[in-house]
Amino acid sequence: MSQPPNTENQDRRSDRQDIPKWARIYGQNRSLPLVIYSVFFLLLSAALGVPSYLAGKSYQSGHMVLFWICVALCVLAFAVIIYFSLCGQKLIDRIARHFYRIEGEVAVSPAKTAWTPSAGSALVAVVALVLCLFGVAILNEYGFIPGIEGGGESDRDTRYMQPVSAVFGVPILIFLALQMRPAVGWLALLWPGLYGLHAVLIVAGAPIVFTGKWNYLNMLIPTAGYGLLTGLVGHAYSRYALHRLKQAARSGLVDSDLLKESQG
Amino acid sequence: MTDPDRVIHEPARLRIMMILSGVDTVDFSFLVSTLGLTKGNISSHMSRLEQAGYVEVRKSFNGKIPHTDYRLTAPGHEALADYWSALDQIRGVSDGEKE
Repeated sequence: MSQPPNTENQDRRSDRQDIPKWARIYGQNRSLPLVIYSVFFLLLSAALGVPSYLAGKSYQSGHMVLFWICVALCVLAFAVIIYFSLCGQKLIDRIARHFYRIEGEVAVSPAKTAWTPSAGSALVAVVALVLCLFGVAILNEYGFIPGIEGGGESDRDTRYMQPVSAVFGVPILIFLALQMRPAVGWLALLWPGLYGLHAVLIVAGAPIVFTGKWNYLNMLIPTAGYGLLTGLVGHAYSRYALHRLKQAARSGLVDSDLLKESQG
Repeated sequence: MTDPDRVIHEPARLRIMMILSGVDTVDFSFLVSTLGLTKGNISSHMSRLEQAGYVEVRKSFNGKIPHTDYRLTAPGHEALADYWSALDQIRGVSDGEKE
């Protein structure tokens, strides 16, 4: 059964929009740099956290050789963190470029709207986020953040750290995601969304609080963990977009065939 | 009735223009891997688009490896929009004849 002419035209218009649309979605969701950054962050946290924990245990049990080995590992991990802070962006770019070398580079232009603040505001927001996280850690250290009633000392420490950090962390992450539009897609909002949801669930009393020696996961999962998850979801979506783009770009264009037909 | 732009009308070049219209810049490898055409083929199409003033080419180096980026120019965006409207006109005539 043949379609009426208007419907057919409409279909062809959507065909011609497919290639730019999927190219744009692919470009916006190339999130391997975020995945690499989150993996580095998790590895560095483990590299600093595990020796610190073992150093404490070995000191308590009097194993001084193990203690000094752990201290040396902590110093090494700290040096790597400093190096990563200074040269991390270049390193991440190089690794991401290596992974993308076969499929090439795509860039979607940054937003040029009236409300866009001056250049570097994204960096200012990142610095603000890091400083605020340090601030929460300090407030927590001095007991300004309430804890679990009847819990142990270590339990009391971190229960509400994440919800308090979410009060400023979520707006800053949303600001960052909007600031980078349209260079990044709407999926970037998944990170603040999950961060906020995690905070709400903790305040509501959901059993998602880590205790004892797993205390540090209360902050690590919402920060690096959800960042990694967002990066992986974005990466998966970019694979799908690239598949659709290749499908659309490699298939014969109906419009060109029609023209040849009309001229023939 | 306006004739469609012959430079854009070639299917590979039309696809390249469509890809470029959705993003800011793409590099040579991306066009090769996405379109599944040979490097020589893409290169000749890009030269043609550059000569027509539809594409801006930026050559640089990533370390010692040469890197070429392409961007659709303002006349390129305009030419693509004109191409679609010319094609719509032809389609209108074609659909009218069928009816």
